[in-house]
Amino acid sequence: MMPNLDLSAISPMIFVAVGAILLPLLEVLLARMIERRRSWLGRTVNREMASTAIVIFTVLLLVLALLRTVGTFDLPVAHFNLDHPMIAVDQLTRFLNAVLLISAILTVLVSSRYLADIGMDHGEFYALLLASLLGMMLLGAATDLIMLFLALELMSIPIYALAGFQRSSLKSNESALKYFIIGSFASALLLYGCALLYGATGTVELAEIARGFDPENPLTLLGAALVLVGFAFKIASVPFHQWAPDVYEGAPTTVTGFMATAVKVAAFGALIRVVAVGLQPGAEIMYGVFWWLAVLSMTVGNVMAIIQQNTKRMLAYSSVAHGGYMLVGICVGTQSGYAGLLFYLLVYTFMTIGAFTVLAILTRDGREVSRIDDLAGLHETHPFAAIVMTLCMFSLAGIPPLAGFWGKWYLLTGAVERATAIGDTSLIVLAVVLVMNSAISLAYYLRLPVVMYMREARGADRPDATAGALQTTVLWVCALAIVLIGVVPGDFLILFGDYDLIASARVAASAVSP
Amino acid sequence: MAEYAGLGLFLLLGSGLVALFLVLTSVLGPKLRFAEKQEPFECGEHPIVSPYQRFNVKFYMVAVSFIIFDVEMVFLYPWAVVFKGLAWYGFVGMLIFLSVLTIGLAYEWMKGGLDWN
Repeated sequence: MMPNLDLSAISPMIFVAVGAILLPLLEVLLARMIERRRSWLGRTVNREMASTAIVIFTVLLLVLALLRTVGTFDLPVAHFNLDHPMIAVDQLTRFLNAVLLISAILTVLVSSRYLADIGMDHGEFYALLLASLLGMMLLGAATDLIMLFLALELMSIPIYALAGFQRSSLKSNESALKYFIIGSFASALLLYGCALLYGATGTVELAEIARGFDPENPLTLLGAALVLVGFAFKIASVPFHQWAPDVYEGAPTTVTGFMATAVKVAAFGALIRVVAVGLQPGAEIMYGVFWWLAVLSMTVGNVMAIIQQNTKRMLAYSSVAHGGYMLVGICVGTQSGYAGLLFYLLVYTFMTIGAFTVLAILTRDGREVSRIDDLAGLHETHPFAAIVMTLCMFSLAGIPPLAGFWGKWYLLTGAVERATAIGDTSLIVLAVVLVMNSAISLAYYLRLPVVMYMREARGADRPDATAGALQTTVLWVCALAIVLIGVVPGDFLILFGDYDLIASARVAASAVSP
Repeated sequence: MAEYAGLGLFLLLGSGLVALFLVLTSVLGPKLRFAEKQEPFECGEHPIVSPYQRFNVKFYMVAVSFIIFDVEMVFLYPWAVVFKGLAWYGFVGMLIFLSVLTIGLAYEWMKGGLDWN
């Protein structure tokens, strides 16, 4: 009766879970101490001390989880079983968890100051963030449709609340409501797909579904299609992307950064596992679907981003386009394709968090710098933020020698290798579309540096930016990551010992690829 | 067909009994007809009002707390049935589940979620 419970394998998830459960309690205890004017270490507890304590506790847990994840990367696969495998802690899971934890740590570091700026400095923010993070970590690890759905909901529901965290702002409320309705709709579709797959194959376990997968059976195909549509909503891929601009615009800026990176990482991680393990026998049928999703996402995302006047909306469409680039890795469907996608997710996290951090820093007294033109003259008022923003934009556009270039490079080489191996011209077409779209994206990515460096700041509207120490740290981390991964990429990246990122991505991809 | 006879009898008896009571109450019951009473759902509320009404958010807090502990009870029953088979694993697992719920309750309490005023 005793199930196989390898607790050490899931210890990073346990750290995050403990944080998510204890943080609300810590918040109310500290609030009570402030109320009763208790003192600690000879000083009366005030709001700043409470916030600092909460942030330190959160970051400590996350860093412990990250160290544990990276430290155990090479260990063999650990399954967490009840009567059948529900969670697989393999290299793919550990790679995804590391990226997710990095994204969460950076978000927490930016948020402490940002929340105080918008007058929403509540400890519940971090509890919701950690709860969502736990869902994401489990999502990438799920080898069972039930676990997959539970993790997806655990990821999504706190994110809905986070999107509406700025309660006083109508836009934030709108964002939360839209995300909630569309997100529930997507979850319902995915759940219906899971039910149909269970009906067709008689199992909820991904590996068993692959065995019972019958491409002739309409029930199986419908189930697979509904599951894919559910995922397409979560990764905001065209034509399931309409919610993204509104939600990204309205949500608090640091939450938008977290949504744009972590949700994508987790959803793509789970998508890789579902496609490569559970739906593997249907790969040929799904190839066409993914091909069109990729082409549409890239093209529509980039073209729509050009006409945006709002920075966050522009970044939202840019994130749709990047989802399209990543889908190329799914289309390739080999180890090198998935490795390219995973590497891209890592790089994308640094670029996107960096860009949103600059926007978060520019928020003053609850007023956001929303329009792109409002960034005019940023190089005078805050030169470092302008430099980091420029680096992020160049990297997102894929200009060598920055990290974004290598992300696209590995996706492209994966596609071309596969195309030559099987003599398939449609993959070549996909690669060409990717390159053309990178060229289109320059039109809007280069607009920000132009506005920041070549326009005069306008009188009272000058963006006034005084970043907190933690926010500056995040800017440094993102800038260094973009430059270092770019200058010494992949095969010869030997940073801090022997963390070869692209090799790690290959190892991670090998966990599921045929 | 014979095995459905019981079901048919049950349906017949059931609907017959309901019809009987309806007829009896309409014949025997005392009646006072006035406008308010002719409206459906006479529970002291007007049936036709604007749906965009505000209601106190405290009702929501109570309802959510109720559902959480209701579901907890539903979990506890099957657990209690197989408790012996699960042994220590089941005991510790339920202890963790209950302590998570307790922390949630403590949070709600300290945050003032249980105060009506």
